[in-house]
Amino acid sequence: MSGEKSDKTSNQSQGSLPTRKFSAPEIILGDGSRNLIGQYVNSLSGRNVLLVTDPGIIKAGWAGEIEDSISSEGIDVVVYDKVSSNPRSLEVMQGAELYEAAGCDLIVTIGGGSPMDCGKAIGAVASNQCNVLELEGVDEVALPAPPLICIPTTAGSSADVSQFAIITDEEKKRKFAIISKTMIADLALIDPETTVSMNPELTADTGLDALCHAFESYVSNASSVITDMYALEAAKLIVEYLPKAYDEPDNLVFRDKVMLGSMYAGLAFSNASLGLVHAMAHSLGGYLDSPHGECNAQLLCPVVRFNYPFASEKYKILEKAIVGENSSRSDGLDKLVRALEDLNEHLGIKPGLSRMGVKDDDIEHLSKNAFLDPCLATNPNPATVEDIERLYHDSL
Amino acid sequence: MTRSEDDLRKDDLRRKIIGLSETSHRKSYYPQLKEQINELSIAMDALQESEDKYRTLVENVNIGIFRTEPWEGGRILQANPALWQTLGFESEEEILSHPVDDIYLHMENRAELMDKLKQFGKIKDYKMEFKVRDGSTILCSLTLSAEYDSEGNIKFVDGVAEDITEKEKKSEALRQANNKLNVLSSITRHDIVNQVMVLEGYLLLLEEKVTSPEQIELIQKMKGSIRSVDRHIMFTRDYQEIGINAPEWVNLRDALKDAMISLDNFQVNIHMEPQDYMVFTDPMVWKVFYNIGNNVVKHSQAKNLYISTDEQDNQLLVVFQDDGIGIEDKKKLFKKGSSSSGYGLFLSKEILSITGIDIRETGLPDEGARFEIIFPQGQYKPVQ
Repeated sequence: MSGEKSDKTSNQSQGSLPTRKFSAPEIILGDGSRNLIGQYVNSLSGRNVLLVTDPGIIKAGWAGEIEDSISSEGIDVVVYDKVSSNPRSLEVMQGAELYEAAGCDLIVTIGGGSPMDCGKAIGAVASNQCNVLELEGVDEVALPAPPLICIPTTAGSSADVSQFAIITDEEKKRKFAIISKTMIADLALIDPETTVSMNPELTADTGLDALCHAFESYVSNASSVITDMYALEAAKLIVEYLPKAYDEPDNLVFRDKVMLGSMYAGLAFSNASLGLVHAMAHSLGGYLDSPHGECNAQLLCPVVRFNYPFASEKYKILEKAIVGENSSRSDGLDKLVRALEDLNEHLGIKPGLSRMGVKDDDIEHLSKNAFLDPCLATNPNPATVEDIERLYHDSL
Repeated sequence: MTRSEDDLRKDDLRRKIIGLSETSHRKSYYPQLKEQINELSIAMDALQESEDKYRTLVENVNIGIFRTEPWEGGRILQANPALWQTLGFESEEEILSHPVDDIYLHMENRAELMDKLKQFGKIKDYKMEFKVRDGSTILCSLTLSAEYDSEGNIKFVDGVAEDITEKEKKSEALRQANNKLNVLSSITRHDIVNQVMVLEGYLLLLEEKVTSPEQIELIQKMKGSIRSVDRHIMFTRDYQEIGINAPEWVNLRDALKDAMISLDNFQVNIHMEPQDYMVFTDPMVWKVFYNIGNNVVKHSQAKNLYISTDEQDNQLLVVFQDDGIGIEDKKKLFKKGSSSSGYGLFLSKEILSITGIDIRETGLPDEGARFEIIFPQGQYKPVQ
């Protein structure tokens, strides 16, 4: 890319509006919006749907409900529910095989980040007739995937609005990212009612994932005025309502607010990308199969400290947004980290990666993988492998 | 990996994530749709190519092609350049504004043609005179075919008109020249034959008066020469008739029957076993059949002659197989003046060659003669 183009997209441009793109799916947000699934499958000319989900969502009854809605329109549905909590490349290939074998022409995903990422990757594999590993990286999906509708049942991953799909390469015990505008769903049916089935732990984990999305996209070196707006609002909503939703899981108003925050955070990170927290969390998830939300929650505070000197103004704005006006005269970093630690404590997240089974011996491998994660490219502080190793150590 | 390489990689990733490059587009179409668009595009290209090919053909061909309404006062709906140029119009638009009836020299002829078209659905090679805008007329060979609507009514008439004015004039001139030659040939032959008869008469008288053996021998030689002159004259009569009439579709069985009935035959059993075919040939083809049959009767010592057909390798063979002595020396069989039967087989080959038909003899000595007349593809068809 030419130097001229580089300047145009730089955050250090002379004007206040660096050139940025903002991509999003068609979004229908609101309680009960999932009931529109049949209508939209029809409008996208789906005649044979692959429904991608996981056993938990089947058990909760959401998948069956969606399957019935689609079937009632006279449309065939094939269910693929073999998705694990960190979706594996083999599961993607199996799903794509089923898509082909059953002659499907549209994909609906219902669930958290795992079924949604898996469904997105299945579509890309089906179109491009390749192994999912070949799609790793940015803009590596040559042919667009078939029509895709995502229905999230967690308020955290926001894979339903993002251009990311994170898949586990089980052979090399690492996660890899497929980042492409072609991975954006055609429609996100965001129905907060589906989040009431989450237990408190999952509510906390997924909510903190959303908060990390907000934080990391806000301080990203690829952020824009549009993503900043969403990220900041997301941080406010999540910090205020996540503890309430955790305390009162059946309160739909709180669930709505957290879901809204998650969606804002999703729109922000999809376009501004993420940072070191996600690079390290992906590495942990791939190596130890650790829950993604919890990894993020453990790593956010150390990474904020690490990044603070490189994006202090933005962190101060975040601090003001989540702690309040009075904080501006205080020591911003400590105040901000304390607020995040308080939140973790409220949500029952006990500090320490060692609690999740991470050992000293794992750190070298984890750090090397984290260093290669594309999320690191937009982290405000350009971390080295040694920096990452130290951060893992400090978080044990 | 050095630090600077890492930086470059990260910069590249960051730029890609920002997504302003040409490879970073939202999906705006689906593969199935793209596939269908591709297929449609290929089909459209093929259709366009085909249309261009036929349009070029229709526009460049030197024969008038047109479509008209079938009824009286109907319009010309389409006309290729050859038609409107031949009829003296400036453009296709000009001829399209013209009633069809007006281009016929005699309007009533079109009405007759339309009646025939209603009856048969197609009219082929019909000679028709048309008006040219400069006041002259042209003679065309006209082929019309009817296009019907779903209720079976004639919707359009599609036509092909070939200007045969010049060809017809040349044919007529050729016919007249041929006639003159025939008349000259006949009169000359008649006079020569008369003089030959007179000469033979004088020789007869002379023969009665001469007693010297040397003189009698000389008279015999003179008589031999006179017979030779007579044969030559007879050959000119037969050869003159070849090719005078245009080739036509002839019923094979009828032609064979006519030829065999004409034979002066009391010894040979003739077994007629041909299939029913029409053959496209000189109308004198029966003479060929006669000639072969006559040779069998006179020279083969055969008891049976089998006449059959055999269709193989896109050819039709008409086979004359006898059970006589066969033919030993075949080298000069079809050469002029070399066979014992005079000019028969030479003339037969000439008659057949006018329409590209071949003849060969494939029999084995002592097993009988076998003549095969070979009609190539397109020169024969089953009797409808």
